[in-house]
Amino acid sequence: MSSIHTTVARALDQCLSNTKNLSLRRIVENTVEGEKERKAVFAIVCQVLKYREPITTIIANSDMNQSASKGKKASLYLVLVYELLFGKGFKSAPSSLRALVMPHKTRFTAELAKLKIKKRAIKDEDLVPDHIRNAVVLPRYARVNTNITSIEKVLEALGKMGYVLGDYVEGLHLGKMKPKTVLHDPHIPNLLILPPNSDFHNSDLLLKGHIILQDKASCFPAFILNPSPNSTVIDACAAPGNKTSHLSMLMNNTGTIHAFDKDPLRLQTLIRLTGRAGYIKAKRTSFLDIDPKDKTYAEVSAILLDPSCSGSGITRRLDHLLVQSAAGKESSTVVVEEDEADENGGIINSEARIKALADFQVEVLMHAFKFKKVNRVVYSTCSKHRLENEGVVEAVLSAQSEFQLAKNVFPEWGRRGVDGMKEVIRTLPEEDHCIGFFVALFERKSKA
Amino acid sequence: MAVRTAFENSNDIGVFSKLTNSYCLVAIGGSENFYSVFESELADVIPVIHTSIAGTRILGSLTAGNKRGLLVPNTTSDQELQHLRNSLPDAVRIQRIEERLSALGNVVACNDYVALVHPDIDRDTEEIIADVLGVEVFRQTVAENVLVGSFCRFSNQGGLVHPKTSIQDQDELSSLLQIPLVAGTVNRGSDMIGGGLVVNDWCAFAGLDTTSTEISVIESIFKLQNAQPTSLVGGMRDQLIDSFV
Repeated sequence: MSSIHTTVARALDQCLSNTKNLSLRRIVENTVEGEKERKAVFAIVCQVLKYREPITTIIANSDMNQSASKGKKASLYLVLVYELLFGKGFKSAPSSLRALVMPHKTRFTAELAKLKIKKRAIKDEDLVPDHIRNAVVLPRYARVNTNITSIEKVLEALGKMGYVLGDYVEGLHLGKMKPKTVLHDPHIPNLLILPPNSDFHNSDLLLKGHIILQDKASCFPAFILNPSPNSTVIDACAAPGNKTSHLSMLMNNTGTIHAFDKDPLRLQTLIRLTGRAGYIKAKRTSFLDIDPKDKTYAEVSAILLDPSCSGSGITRRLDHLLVQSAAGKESSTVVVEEDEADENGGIINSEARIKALADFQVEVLMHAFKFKKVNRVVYSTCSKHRLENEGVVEAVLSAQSEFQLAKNVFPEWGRRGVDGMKEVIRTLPEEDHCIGFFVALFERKSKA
Repeated sequence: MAVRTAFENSNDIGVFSKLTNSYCLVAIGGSENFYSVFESELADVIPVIHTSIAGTRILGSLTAGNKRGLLVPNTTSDQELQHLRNSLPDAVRIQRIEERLSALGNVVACNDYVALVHPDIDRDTEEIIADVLGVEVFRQTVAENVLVGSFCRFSNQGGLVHPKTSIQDQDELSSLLQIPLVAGTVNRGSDMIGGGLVVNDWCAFAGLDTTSTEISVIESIFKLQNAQPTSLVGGMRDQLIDSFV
């Protein structure tokens, strides 16, 4: 017989020895059967991880049977002490579990009181380490797929789910939005802002493709490229297809989009996601293997290029809970789109890897410039490293003379490239409430 | 109000008496003088009980208690326990405990909400203290002395600690106890605060040698000027509020 506490402890063990670098939600899904229990377990796991630091200190200070609290049962103790001190108590727990901590209850409460005094904490909340408490929480963004529905219809459907349309106010803290509100994004048309904890995974809106959960920043490339209807466009590294579908939406479901990706599995996702968008020709190949002189691509006028990058601008939701404060502040920026994170695998950022990525990015950009009729190329990464962003732009500008950076791109957006590069766009998770992103638009120099 | 008294020529009255907000224990001495001092101050409000613990008169050092309960060492005889049970108010729980550090008065210092205890006290004792006295229990030292009961004394209003307690320790203790503390002495410079002083929320008894300076410190930190038993104040307040309504 297992109570919820032992299940939580098992999930916690998985989280703490997270070798495969899975997301928190994924781990809980793997450990727990049953939808209802999963939700409860997930909630407790998040809370326990939040309070992990104070709880570990309390257990260590209360010099209880050390061997018991260290070995296999360490996670179980974390859960039980959390429930005892911060949670709602554990009336539901079997007596065998209660017996583990109840004899130490007085000591635990005393150590908690002492810890609070030491940390000058007034509420329990104040004990949560800064990097968790101040982690950037991003809102959910939902892009309306105007190819099959309209923003009015989506708002109506959301209204039925209890969401209320609010007014966007400048300087509003989007991470702390009121629950069940929905806002129009001030920059991107047909993009809705929803509270961070909005859950759509079972909603018809998402399953039928009426909305696409896509971070605001990753809407920028297609929006900036803004292809005209009936034109031919290449999405060079397309999977999982969010940007491809955005392109097709901007082109009113006309013209042709060639979408390439070399990963067959992820290309399947793309086909599934964009299946009903029409006019999208998906092909499993590397963009570099496409011959620019091939007649099929003779009419291509614009290219969207979002190549593999370090993904340092993004981490997954709740990843901050898995980071010990000692591990540094860098990864404390939390972010949204899981598919974006998966795209980039883990967040391993050795300098050599970034250098290799930058070289690859320069190569694909140069390849994009070889298409004869291409006038506009948009380049984007979800990285915050200068080397992959401004560095790549500088490299390609000096390597060829046909393309230049477009002037006056997206003038409403204030945050521009570093080192005075005014033509390119950057985002900062802490202030812009979207993932860390970089966009540059190249255009062909006029013949004159 | 603070009163000076002595037990058979000894100034360490804290050793021979125990004072809480709901009862007072006094050792059986050769004369009734000591008892009379307590009785004249307290008899109208709380019971003042003559008793011995384990046949000795040092009941202040052997017992720990507050308004909710009384803890006695396992050397306490059955008759004594029965006598205490008969004399104490019904609401007060009494518990005999098995503890190696049997001088409970020396190893436990408490008011009605918090107890400071000797760092080496038994884990079970700790739980019993929390349960019977209804307090939070903190393992602490006072000025690096493990005998917290001997070197400090506090009520729900304030507390007096060993004169060599560092400011930092005082701050820490004060935040644990949530009351103001002051470092000081009793009995003309003695650092055995627990030995020379017993207090509750409205009155204090100090050794006969205690100087007037020491008395004034005690009266101010324990807020004893114009202090009245809470039960009386409570009763009067009810009437006052009654008449206002």
